[in-house]
Amino acid sequence: MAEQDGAADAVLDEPAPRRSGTGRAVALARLLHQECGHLLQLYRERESFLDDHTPEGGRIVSLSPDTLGDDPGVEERVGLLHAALRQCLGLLHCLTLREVEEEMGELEGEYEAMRKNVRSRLEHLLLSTRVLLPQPGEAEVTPDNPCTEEVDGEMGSFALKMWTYRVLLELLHWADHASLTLHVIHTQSQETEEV
Amino acid sequence: MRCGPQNLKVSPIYSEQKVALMWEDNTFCLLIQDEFAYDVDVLSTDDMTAIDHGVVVVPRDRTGSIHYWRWASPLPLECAHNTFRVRGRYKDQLGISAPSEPQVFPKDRVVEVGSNVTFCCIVPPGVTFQQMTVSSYSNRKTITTQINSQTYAMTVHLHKPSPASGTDVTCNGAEYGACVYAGYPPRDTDLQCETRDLESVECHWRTERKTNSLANRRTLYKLLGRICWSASNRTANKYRCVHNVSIQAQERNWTLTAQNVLGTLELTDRADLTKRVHMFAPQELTSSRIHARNASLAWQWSTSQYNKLNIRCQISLRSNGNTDVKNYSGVGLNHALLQGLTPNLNYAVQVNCGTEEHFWKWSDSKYATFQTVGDIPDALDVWLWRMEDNQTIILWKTPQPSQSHGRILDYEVTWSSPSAGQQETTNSTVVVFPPGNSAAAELDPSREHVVMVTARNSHGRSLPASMVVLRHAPGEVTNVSRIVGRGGGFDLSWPAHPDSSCGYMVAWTPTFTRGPGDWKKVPPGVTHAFITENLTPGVRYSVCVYICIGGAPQLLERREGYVEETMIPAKQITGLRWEHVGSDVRVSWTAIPPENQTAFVQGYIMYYRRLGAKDAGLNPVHLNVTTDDPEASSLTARGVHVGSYSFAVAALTSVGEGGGNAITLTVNPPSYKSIMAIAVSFSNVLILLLLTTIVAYKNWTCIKQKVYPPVPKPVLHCDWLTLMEDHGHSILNTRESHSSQKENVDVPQVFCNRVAASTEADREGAPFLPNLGANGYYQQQQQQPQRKAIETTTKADVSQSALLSFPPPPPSVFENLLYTAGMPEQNT
Repeated sequence: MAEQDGAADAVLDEPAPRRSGTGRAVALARLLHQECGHLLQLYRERESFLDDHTPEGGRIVSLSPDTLGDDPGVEERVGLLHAALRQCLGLLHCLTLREVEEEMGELEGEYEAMRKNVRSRLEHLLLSTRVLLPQPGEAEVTPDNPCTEEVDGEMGSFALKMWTYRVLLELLHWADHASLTLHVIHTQSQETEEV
Repeated sequence: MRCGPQNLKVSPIYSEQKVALMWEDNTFCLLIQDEFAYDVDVLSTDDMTAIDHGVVVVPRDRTGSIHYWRWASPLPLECAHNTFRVRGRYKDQLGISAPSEPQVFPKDRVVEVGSNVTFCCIVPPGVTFQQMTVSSYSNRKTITTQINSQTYAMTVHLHKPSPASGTDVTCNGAEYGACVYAGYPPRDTDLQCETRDLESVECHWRTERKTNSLANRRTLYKLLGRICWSASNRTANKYRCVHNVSIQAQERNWTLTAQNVLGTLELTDRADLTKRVHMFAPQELTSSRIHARNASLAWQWSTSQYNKLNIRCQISLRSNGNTDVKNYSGVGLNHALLQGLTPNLNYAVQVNCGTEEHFWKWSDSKYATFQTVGDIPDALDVWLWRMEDNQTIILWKTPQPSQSHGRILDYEVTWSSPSAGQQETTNSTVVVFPPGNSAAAELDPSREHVVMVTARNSHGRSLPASMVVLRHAPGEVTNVSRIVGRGGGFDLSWPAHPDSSCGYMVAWTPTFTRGPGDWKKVPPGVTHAFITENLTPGVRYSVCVYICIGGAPQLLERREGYVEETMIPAKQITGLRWEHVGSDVRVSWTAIPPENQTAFVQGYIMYYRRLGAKDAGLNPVHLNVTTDDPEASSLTARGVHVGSYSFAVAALTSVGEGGGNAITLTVNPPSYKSIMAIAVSFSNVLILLLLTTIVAYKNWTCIKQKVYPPVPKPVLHCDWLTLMEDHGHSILNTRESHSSQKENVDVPQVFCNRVAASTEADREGAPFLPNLGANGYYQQQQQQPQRKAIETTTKADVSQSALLSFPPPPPSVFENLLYTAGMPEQNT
């Protein structure tokens, strides 16, 4: 993980003209993945009963099977990824609102600081993936969740904790998916340039 | 959708075959500013299938009230077991979902620490109950009891406060559970209220950290009955609430109410807030009209209420590590004139203000910086040092930044000799550039001189610092007294002198290095000084006090001493020597040179001990003798017995014994000396005798010739001699001679050789004498060794006579003229 950080930082520290859009997006996705893992770890430490627990149920954010063709192109893959990440941002936005409401205000612990970090990184990644889209102006980067859905049909602080846990796992999953997808796209684009 | 029922109570009415439900809105419902509803489902407990359904609509104005619903059972209540589910619904969003997984109740209960809480887990049909767990209580044994086929209960004693996120109670794994918050009723303390702007009240209080649970973070604070919306400052555990209120000049109660689900607490502070004005910090602090020694400060107030307030402001000026505090007062004070500043200096300003009357607290600080304008340097501090070769060194102290008021460009030194009678006035000037701070001048000691020194910076030249040098009068002797250092310096005082028009000067320098040292000016009227600069322990200093009369220093007194005496290094006492006088041993030494003394010598001490005393089984006595005469150069140890000793001499000082040195000596018995003397003398005499004997032996013939010259033999005719032979007697009276060369000579040969022997004598013209040869004796044969002659003629002790006596002359030469042995035969 440390080597990935170093590689990601090295790419981000390159002067902009030399660093391609996909390269920058790959680096951001890797950083986001690392920070999501750290955020999840901090939450598990705070809610010790969640240790080694895998929640039930499927993904909160899922890609529509109709949108996935047999061989989706680069633009399509980037578009789907962008949409998923935007949903993640919405979940994170709602998570923050509910936790702030539950805690009657902002706490200043390590978990809260990392939560802010993850949000900033996710927003930054969305801006990077938007640039890769054919029509960037039409892509949104703001949270798309009105935060009115029920929390798995349950009430109470415990249910909020479980939901929070699922959201953090979702973020980790999509950050990993983003780093893999963007890496493949980046590699293909570099091969195309060499040719 | 979190709005839903709480405190649901299901009451069967067996007589009417009805079930009455009663519940309240939870707090989330209070946030819904609209009509909402409750869906009520009646389920068969066995398979959880819906039997009946109802809706309770809650109008907007009924939010927060208690709701009721009755169900009429088609069967007697004793026949079937039913489950009632109530869910809130708002805009097609449902609250509670169907119980398809285990449920834990109660949810989000807030209890006081130390409470016993019973939790129940309802597992859906077909699901087996496994366990219930409580986080942070896993080590405690809990007993779970079964209530019915799907319901299990567990009681937990919550003996400690829950963490901020609550205590989790789970059933059949971590997926399903509830949170409980164990906390305390409000425990806030130390309420103190004040006003900052005379238009609002601001109260502060403190809460205990260990009650920091969700229960307490949901504590509602009200000040004067109004909710404090942003009361907390959780990092410091201190809370604050501000409300606009009219501040009257009278005492009243300021009441804070703290309420949470576990209790209510009321705190009161009674005060007249016009006497508790905590001012805001001054705004827009600026400096203006900055000169060399004064500047103006101005600021604004954030509230107009201060304009009629009698304000006191404290202004701290910090520069070069020094801080000066000035106070200013006035109604609506918003400016200050700073005076007494130092030119060309950076100042850091800090302003704090408070009320002049009924002072409560200082306001927060406001900061600013400025630099004063430069000015000409201050007059220098000048001193003179007269060297032995009539040269005078003019010295001055390098001005500090607070004195130079800018960078010093150069120093100008001028000395002049005012004209006296026909003598001309002489002026001399030299310019010295920094970092130099001295100049040498040849001043005629027979004349009076005036020396002036000025410093120049970019703003001009300083006022001159002058000093008058009087005519030098050699031969002045000033008694030197002793001074003792104290506290790292010399504390001096002297009698006031009526003529000291320009004060006094104190100068000090190391006594033995004789160079310009340091000095200090003392103003008129002051007759003491404490000097600490440039003083080194263990160095003797000469400290002189001068009176200043008309600008001329005149010596008043001179002292010598150490600012701190230190131990004299070892072996400074040299030249140790000793002599044995009777039974005493006197040890002498060469005194320590004064320049090597690091303390005043007050006397000497000598230690001595016998060496090898232990080995000899003797008592190794350590003795000493002392003297309190610092000029002493010897000490005597009395009654020193024969033996080897170690003698050590050290100087006595106020800080101990130092400079010590030692010698080892051996004391011998007195008779031994005499014997030695005699033996030596005797040896000398014996040697002399031996030498004399040897010389005499070698020159015996000459000595004998001198001392015992031979008696000449009578001259005899040959006929007489022949006559003697005819008689046929050959009387040979052989008598041995004493001569070492006289031998027993064979008579016949003597006769035979007689004629030959006389030939030489005849040839020489001398009367006939036997040829005595070189030693006076007739030499023909030497039959016997010479030793025999000595042995037979003397009977004295060889050892004595050989040295003390000479051999007697041989008697035969004189006694018997007829002795033919030595008679030569005469030729006829």
